[in-house]
Amino acid sequence: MKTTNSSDPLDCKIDKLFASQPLQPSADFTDRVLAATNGLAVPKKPPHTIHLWLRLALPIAALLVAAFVLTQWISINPAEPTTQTLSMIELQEIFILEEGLGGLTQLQDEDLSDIHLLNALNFLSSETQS
Amino acid sequence: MHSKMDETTSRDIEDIEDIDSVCLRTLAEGDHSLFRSLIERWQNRLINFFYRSTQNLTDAEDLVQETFLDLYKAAARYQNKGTFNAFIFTLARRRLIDSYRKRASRPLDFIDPTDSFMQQHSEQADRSLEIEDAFQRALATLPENQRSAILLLKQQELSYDEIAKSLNASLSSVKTWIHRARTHLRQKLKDFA
Repeated sequence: MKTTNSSDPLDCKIDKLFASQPLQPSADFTDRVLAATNGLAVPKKPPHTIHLWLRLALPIAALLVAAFVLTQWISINPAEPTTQTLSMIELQEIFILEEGLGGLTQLQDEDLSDIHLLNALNFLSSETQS
Repeated sequence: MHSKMDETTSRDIEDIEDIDSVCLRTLAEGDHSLFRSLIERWQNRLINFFYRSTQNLTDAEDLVQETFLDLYKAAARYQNKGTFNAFIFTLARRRLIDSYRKRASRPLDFIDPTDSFMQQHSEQADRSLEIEDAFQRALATLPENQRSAILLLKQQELSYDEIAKSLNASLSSVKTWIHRARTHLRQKLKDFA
């Protein structure tokens, strides 16, 4: 793309001004830059993807073998069920606690007074004792 | 036959690694010996690019140094896909924008009159000094993207593609910026026609 009319004297002057590179850095500039790079960490090429895969191949293979062995072992020795049936007494205790907590939520909705709290506490303690 | 040969030749030329890319590759491999030659090859171009943008020799020199340090740090991740021109001016422009941000957040600097190009060349003809000064002032009033685009085209002789890559912009934006910059400069310098 042409941006300049070469026959136009002003365009020629502007181009000449752009082309002039009048400044030069100070004499010790290169040495200063090189000295500044000394303090920097030496850049290293990051390892190639294939190299990275090769390096990780052995641990990945070991993990796969371990996972396979583990699944085989689990299928041979199925674990005992962890959930056990609850006894009647435990079920009753759970029911009582739930009822007591229900009472407390009712108290939150109503005006909270000492008598209500004491009643709820009495109810809970008597039920658990019985 | 001819076209096949031309195709092969142009592909071969594209495959040839330019000398600056070689410098960066060897640097990434741990060989620092070529980095000096890279600095020597680029320092004049960069200092004039920065000077046209900052109008201050000390600032320009600092920015060149910072750009070279960025280049040094980036050597390991440099991939010879685009051109080295586009790569180095991408780093340079980042530094320039960063310096504008810093300058905006600090009080105005005292500008040493002995620092200016005008003073350095006081023996030259008045008229050429006058146009140089007007040119510098006209450049300073351009928006940053227009100034960088026209400097990369006219001063650094980058291609439009390289400029678009350096400025992270579309080709059409670059063309528009250059056209506007050109019109602006012509307007400001019309008295020197």
